[in-house]
Amino acid sequence: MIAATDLTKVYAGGRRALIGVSLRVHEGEIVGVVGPNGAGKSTALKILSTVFAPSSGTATVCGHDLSDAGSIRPCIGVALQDVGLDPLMTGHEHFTVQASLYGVPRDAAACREARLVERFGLSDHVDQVVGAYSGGTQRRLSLALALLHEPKALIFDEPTVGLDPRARRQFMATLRELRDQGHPVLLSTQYLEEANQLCQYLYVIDEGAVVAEGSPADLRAAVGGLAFRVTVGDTVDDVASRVAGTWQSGQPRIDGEQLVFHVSDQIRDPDAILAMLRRVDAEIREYRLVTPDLDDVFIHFTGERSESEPGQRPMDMTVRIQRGGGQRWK
Amino acid sequence: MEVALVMYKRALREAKRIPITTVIIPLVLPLFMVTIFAHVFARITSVSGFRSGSQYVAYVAPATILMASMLGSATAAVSTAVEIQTGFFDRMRTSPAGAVPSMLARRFADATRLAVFAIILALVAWAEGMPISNWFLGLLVAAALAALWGLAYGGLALAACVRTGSAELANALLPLFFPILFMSTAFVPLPLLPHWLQGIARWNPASYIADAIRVALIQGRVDGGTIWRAALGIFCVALATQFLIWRAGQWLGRR
Ligand SMILES: Nc1ncnc2c1ncn2[C@@H]1O[C@H](COP(=O)(O)OP(=O)(O)OP(=O)(O)O)[C@@H](O)[C@H]1O
Ligand SMILES: [Mg+2]
Repeated sequence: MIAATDLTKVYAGGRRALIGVSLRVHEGEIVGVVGPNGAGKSTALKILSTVFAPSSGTATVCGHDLSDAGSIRPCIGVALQDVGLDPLMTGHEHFTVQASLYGVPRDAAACREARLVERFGLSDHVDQVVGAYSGGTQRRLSLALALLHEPKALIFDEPTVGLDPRARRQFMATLRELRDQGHPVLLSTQYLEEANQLCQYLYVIDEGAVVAEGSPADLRAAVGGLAFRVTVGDTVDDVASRVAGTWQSGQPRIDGEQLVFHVSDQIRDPDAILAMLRRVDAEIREYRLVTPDLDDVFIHFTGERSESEPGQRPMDMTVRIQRGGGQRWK
Repeated sequence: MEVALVMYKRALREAKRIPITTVIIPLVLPLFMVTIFAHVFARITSVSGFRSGSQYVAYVAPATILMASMLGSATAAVSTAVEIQTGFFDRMRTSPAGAVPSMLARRFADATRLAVFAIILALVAWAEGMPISNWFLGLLVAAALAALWGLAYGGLALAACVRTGSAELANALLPLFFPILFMSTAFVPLPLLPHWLQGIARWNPASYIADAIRVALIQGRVDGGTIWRAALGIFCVALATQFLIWRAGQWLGRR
């Protein structure tokens, strides 16, 4: 199990990356951490992987306290956001080095390497130097290496970045297998659809704090209301800027060719929105009222903004849907 | 132990894959010194202070060996900085073995290379006219002191690179070999140095290391007093740089 309580991190430069993150990953559970760029996901995962210590807060990983990094390290399989490969070494040499770092006996290492190479589709690459690998192949190697010592708990930072759809599906299957064998799996991701399919529990992190947590379904329900998706004829950005000038009640987000409005009253709100769109001369091609997806959840809890503008969260409160249901507002 | 061996082999393999930085660059200047520079300044030995009848190439050969040691001892530091940048260092840190075996192995791989450099330079100096009376003893002392000095001195660049993760810093430290060797008896005997420099040269371990190598190569004997001082000097530098590396490592764990 992985359990963290009130982790904070102030980097040496003074940057406050975490201001109190608590999370929990049980055995046989895949838990996801999502949040905008710079939210502090990697910082939290690095602390739990014993890369560096938190500024305050405590955590236990596989029953060992964070301060006892030496006991944690053999138990965890880690793949950080940087693949951390040596461009001058071949794939096979990476397996050899990794095995020696974890004290895996030579026979066992050779046997597991063969299996992992097969599973991660690396057969054509193991004898090439990693510097000649494509980005996705490097990612696959880094994921395979994390499993070489058959760790108890797994920590992956954005593991599926750069993977093609097939490799991604295979990796997700591997994760489910590990979960079913009873391993706790903690991962971060930017792919919300993936989080939705894979994770039993999610933490939405923003600006170094958990702003929402719960199962994907609970989180969608917590957003409440519905999403009103309008496909417009003109350039969607153009329409959005015209809307921004006139529409006071909640700005829509842009999703592909669509403007997505959050509505609470499903009878009156769509009418008002459509009327408003006609007023700003938007050509309406299609509209649909749908239940919110995880993208809506994400935007709802973290606000639509980039890392550089520390904007306002739509609600100044944290929603927690505790395991087993029941909402608590803080 | 197994991991240190794997890492040592890895470091040697890597040195072979990038020979320009690991072999050519550290050897060019010392080879130039022992072949051309030594002849340009050949007449310097007629000045009193040198042993009469000696050749400058024989005097300066240990200086070129030390120079190669100092120029070639930053490879561990540069490679470690690159590992910090690529994240390979964190891969090792999150493993039970940690990053220390790799750093140690890299330093010993550097030392191995420096021992070979010392032998190459001694051979070239011999071809240029330096007499070698006891081959085995001469090459052994030269190789051992060159390796140990590189190991100790290279720790400075390693500490700087671990602390900053920047390989440029190791390169910025390279010219430091210049004042260290010129403020020693590596290029000219003590009496020829300006008075104020003599004081520094007496405290400079490079003086004793160069002297010990010279005596071993030319006279084929081990001068107890000089060797002892050379070893003490190397030990003190090693202790100081090891402390800096340890501090830099502590810092990495807190970041
Ligand atoms: N080594 C560091 N020194 C100083 N500040 C850092 C360091 N690493 C990260 N930060 C800062 O800490 C904050 C959190 O960074 P972190 O990498 O944890 O974000 P993230 O959620 O993983 O983002 P992304 O989605 O882009 O990977 C950012 O503001 C970042 O600039
Ligand atoms: Mg990150």
